[in-house]
Amino acid sequence: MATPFIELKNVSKNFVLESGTEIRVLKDINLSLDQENLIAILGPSGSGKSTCLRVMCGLLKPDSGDVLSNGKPLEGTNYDVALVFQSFALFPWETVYNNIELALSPLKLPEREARARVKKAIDLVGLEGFEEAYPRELAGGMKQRVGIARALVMERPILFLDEPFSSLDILTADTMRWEMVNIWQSKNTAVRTMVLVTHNIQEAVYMAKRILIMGSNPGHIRAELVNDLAYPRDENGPAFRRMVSRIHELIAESVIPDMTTPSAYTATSMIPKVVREPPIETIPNVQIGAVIGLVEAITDQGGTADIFELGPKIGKDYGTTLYMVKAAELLDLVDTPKHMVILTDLGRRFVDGDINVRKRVLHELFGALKIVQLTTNLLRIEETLRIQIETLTERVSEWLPNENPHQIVETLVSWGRFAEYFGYNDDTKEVYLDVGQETL
Amino acid sequence: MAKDLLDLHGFKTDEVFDAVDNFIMSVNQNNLKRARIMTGKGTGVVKKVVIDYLKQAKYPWQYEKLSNGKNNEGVLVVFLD
Repeated sequence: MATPFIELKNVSKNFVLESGTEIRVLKDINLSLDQENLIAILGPSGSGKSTCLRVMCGLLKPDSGDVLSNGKPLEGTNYDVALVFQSFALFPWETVYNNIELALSPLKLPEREARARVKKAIDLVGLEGFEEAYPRELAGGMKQRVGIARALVMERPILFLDEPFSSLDILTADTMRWEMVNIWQSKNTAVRTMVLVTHNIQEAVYMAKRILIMGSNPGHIRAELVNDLAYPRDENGPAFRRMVSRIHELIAESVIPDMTTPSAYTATSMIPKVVREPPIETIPNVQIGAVIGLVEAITDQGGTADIFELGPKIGKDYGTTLYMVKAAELLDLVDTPKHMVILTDLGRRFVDGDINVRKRVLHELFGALKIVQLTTNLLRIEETLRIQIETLTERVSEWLPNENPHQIVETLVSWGRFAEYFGYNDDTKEVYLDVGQETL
Repeated sequence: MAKDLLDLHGFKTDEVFDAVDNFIMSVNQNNLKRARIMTGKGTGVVKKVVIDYLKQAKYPWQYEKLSNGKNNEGVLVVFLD
C-alpha cells in the first residue's frame, strides 16, 4: 500500500482562551489521508474539524502526537497542500488574474510557465472572461471559483476544502460540488486527494468516498464510513438516502444518546461510584427562544416528530436542530427514543400554559440542572448574592474542563434570565441571584 | 506586493483568519523567517482577529518599530521560526 499523504497519530490540541483557560479541542486523533481519494471530514460546529485540517497543513502544531507527511515528520507548513477557504479571502484590490497568479509567487516560476498555469486554472473553473474583474464585481460562486483556481494553480497533490460551499446559495453550491468531483476524477490536474471539511451530511455523501465523522467535546473521530456509491450520485436514490440516514443516526447517537451516560469529563469522576453525584451537564449553545419554538413545532405535529425531518420544518440545519433537541431534552421538555422526539408531560404543560405558567415550569426545570444548582450555591455564599461573570466563568471551566466556559456561561445566564433564576448587570459585569429585586 | 507583507486593508473581518492562513502557508514556502501583517488601525477588530490568530498558533510577534523608536501599531511583525 502506498504511504499515506498525511497521517495523524494520537494528535491532541488545546487552545488557550482569552481568560487564560485552556480547553482541549482535539483528543487522540488518528487518521490517514490515503492517495487517490476524496475524503470528507464531517462534524457539527465545534467538533474541531477545521483545527484538524489546520494541523494537517502545519498551520497549527499539536500539543501531543505526531503529524507525518509522506511518512516523515512534518516540519513547517505542508508543501503538498493547497487550501480553499470558506470566506474566499481574495485580495480585494487585485484582479481575478492577479489573485490567482499571486499564489505562485513562492515558486519563482519563469513568467511564461506561470502564465500557462494561471490560464489552465482559469479554464478548469470556468473563469474565462473574468480575468480583469475585481472580487467586488463577482457573486459568491464566482469568488469561490477564484479561490479554487488559486489553489489549483499551485499544482499540489492534496487539495483541502474548508467548508467551501457554505456561504453560497443552494443552486450554486450544488453545481460546484459536482464540478469539484469532476476535477478530482479528471487526470487533468495535480490533485490526487481532495479533503472536504463540512457540517453538511448531504454534501459529504454526494462528494466523498471516505467519510470521517467527528464528535465534540473534545473533538475526536467518532466513525468512519466508506461510500462506494457510483458517480454521479442521485440524492433521491434509496442507497444515497440510506447512507444519509446512517450518518444522521451516528451523529444523533453522539449528541442525544438514548441512555444518559455520565460524561468521562465530569467534575465528580474522582468520587467513588457509590456516592457519585449526578454529572454536571453541559448546556448546548442555543437560545431558549429557539428551544420554545422547537417545542411548539413538535406540538403542532401532534407531539411527536422524526428528528431527521425536524430541521427543514423549523428552517435549521441538522447540527443546530440536534443541539436544540438536546437542550429541550436536558430541560425534560422532550424525550428522544431512537430518532423520534416526543413531548413529555411537562413539555405539554409548558406548551399549554400562558407566559406565566411557562416561566414557572421553566424555573422549576432549570433549577433541576446540576450546573444551575452549583451556580446558585456560588451566589448564595456571597453576602450580596452576586459575583463577577469572570469568576463564574473560571468555576465553569473547572466543572467542565473540556468545554468553552464563556459560551456555557453566556447560555446559562441567558436561560437563567428567562427562567427568572439569575440576573445580569452588564455595567458591573455581575451575575446575581434573581430574588425578585433588581438591586440587592 | 512584497512577499513578506500581507496588507489586510479592504478585507472583511470574517475573511481575515483565512487570509492569514493563506499568507502563512505562502511565507513558509518562501522560507521567510519573518513576515509582516498590515492590519491598519481602524476600529481595531481586524488587528484583534490577527493577534488572536497568532496567539492561538503560538507565533511570536511584535509591532513594527518606527525609525523614531516608537511602535507602528498598524503593522505586526511575525516570527515564523
